[in-house]
Amino acid sequence: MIQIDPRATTVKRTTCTFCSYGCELGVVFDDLGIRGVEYIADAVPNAGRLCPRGSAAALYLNHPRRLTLPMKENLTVGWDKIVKDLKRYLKKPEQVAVTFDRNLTREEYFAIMNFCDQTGIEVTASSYLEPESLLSPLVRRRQPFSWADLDAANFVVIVGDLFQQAPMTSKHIIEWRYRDRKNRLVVVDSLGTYTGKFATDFLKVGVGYEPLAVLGLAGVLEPSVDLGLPHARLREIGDNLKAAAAGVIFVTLSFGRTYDPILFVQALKTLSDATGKFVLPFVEFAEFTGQRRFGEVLEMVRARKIKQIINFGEIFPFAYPQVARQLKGVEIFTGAVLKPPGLNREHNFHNWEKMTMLPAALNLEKSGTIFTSLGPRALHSDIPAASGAQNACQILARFGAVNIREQFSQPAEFPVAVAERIENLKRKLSTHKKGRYLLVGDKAAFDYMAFWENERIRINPDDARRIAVKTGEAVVVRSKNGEAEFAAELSATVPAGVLAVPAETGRTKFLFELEVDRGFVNFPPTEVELWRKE
Amino acid sequence: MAKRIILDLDLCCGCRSCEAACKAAFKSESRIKYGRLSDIANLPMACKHCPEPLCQAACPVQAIKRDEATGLVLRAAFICTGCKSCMFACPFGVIEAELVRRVSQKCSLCEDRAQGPRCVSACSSGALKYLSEAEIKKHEIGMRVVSRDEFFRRRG
Repeated sequence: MIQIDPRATTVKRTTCTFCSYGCELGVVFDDLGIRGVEYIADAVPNAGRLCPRGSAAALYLNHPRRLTLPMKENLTVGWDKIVKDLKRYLKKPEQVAVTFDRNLTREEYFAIMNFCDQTGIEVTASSYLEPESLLSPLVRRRQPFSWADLDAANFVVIVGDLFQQAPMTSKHIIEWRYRDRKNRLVVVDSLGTYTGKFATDFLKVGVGYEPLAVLGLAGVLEPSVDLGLPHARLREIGDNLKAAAAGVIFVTLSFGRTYDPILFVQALKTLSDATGKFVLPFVEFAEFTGQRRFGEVLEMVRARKIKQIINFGEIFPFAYPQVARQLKGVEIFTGAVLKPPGLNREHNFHNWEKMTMLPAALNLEKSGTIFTSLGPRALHSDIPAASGAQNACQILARFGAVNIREQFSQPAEFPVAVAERIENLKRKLSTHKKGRYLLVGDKAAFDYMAFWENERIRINPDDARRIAVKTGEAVVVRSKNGEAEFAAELSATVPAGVLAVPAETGRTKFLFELEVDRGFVNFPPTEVELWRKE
Repeated sequence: MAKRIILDLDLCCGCRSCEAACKAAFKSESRIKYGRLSDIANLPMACKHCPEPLCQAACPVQAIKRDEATGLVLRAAFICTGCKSCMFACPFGVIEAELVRRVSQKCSLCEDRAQGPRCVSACSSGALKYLSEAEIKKHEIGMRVVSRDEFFRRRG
């Protein structure tokens, strides 16, 4: 047998940036390029363990649709032409908005903000549109976090499906939970989850009721609000959390799960203040805010004040058809790691051809620092960027010297009228039409960008019986925005009348409604029709 | 007996990292099968590398052979015709029904990797372990299953 020389492959280290845990991983290279992922036993902080997102790193880096040249109207465009166009637009900086999503390092973000200062661009905003981006500022409330903090705790509250959002947390939390019989783990969620299976107290609430349950734990919820749970039980848990010598509140928030993310975040702050325990969100890393909110940019586009948008990082904000529809008539320059799939064109999501797409490097291919839930993290990637892919600093260097002086800006804070928001939320929850299904997002690591499996829709077995569908059979879901076909998966973890889809791809995201509240873009649970595909 | 993959179901957090690691290494072949026991548990199932493999006996083209030195039951992709006989013969149902590149998907315990199976390395909650027979006996894996108290079942 011919033995292949093992030295022909090399393993290069990098940091996974697909959630805020910051796992270290190895990418295996051979003569032909990227071969796969390696699990490095001495990696910090994950000790070689990797969730399905991390294992997909090689697929993302080496994707067949990887953009390597700037493109417009399906043609390659030279960088000179792009720079010339942008310089022309920058003569009227008041008509230009600069946005950025999570695929950036801190240094790139500072370079972008300084570039905006130099050129007089005043409208800057995060284009990371998932509600979890609202949670990011909470990470700063207590830094750095280490697992020693968990070891010292005897009470943990988890809001949401933490083990799917950041599976690397599971080992620490499960070990902590079974170290001492007195350790108490409370999980709050509206769907049955694996995280809930490890809980001492699983508080299953209705879809959209999570913020109310959190306020109940904080002891500030009116007795008239019906959660389907005894208020006394919530108060007892809240009192015990307050009395605990040390405790942690872990939080995660999925796309398409909450009607009012502002109330959700305010409820968490209230719980934290009432109990003296800190909140630690595990979200997809989204630290950057800019001076405005994306909803305000949409408003300015409608008022024809903004005529060009330059977006750094990833193409995702324009993959939401609900957003793209509102951006008609705006000239868009956007970083893009992958070329948009043909599927989007079929759904007429957006006129991709009109957009100028700039090949963007992934954070996996960068050096610099990022901010994780466990603290700031140096990337030190050994991986070269894909041919032609550029980071924000390289793009900005075409316009002059790049300044990476630290500069954080935060949109202005505003008072949150909790009582009014609770009333609004109660009204929304009570207007759910009978006979219609409620579509919610479900963030599962395995469904990341549908790299491993096509999206499936989770249906309650009683609902499935009603439409005579079995696991694996095709169903059609229709919302106001259009319809999509999925394979069904019967699961009692989903309440009757609720449908859960993995909210990681454009194939599912387009079904949700878009709401803008105080400039924050939100995709709430959405009413849909469901039937079996004949 | 060579080392084997052991699943501690009480620690599994259902993230499917094992399946993703397997697919990542073997170009979308899922050699670790993922069973769903209603909503009670998600069950990663790997090949047991049986001492008397029925898949080997069923294979009409002798594509599956047991290496007596290591105890591994290996499938030669070049010889496999994708007839699915092994899939029907396997008493544990761990050979995936779906063919990838027209061959069956059979776990090799990542024999190409010195550190052992990738699914075990990737396992986020520590539910999968790669242990020798002596280690299995030492840890009394299987004994804790008899405990009705989940606290004791889940204590490592």
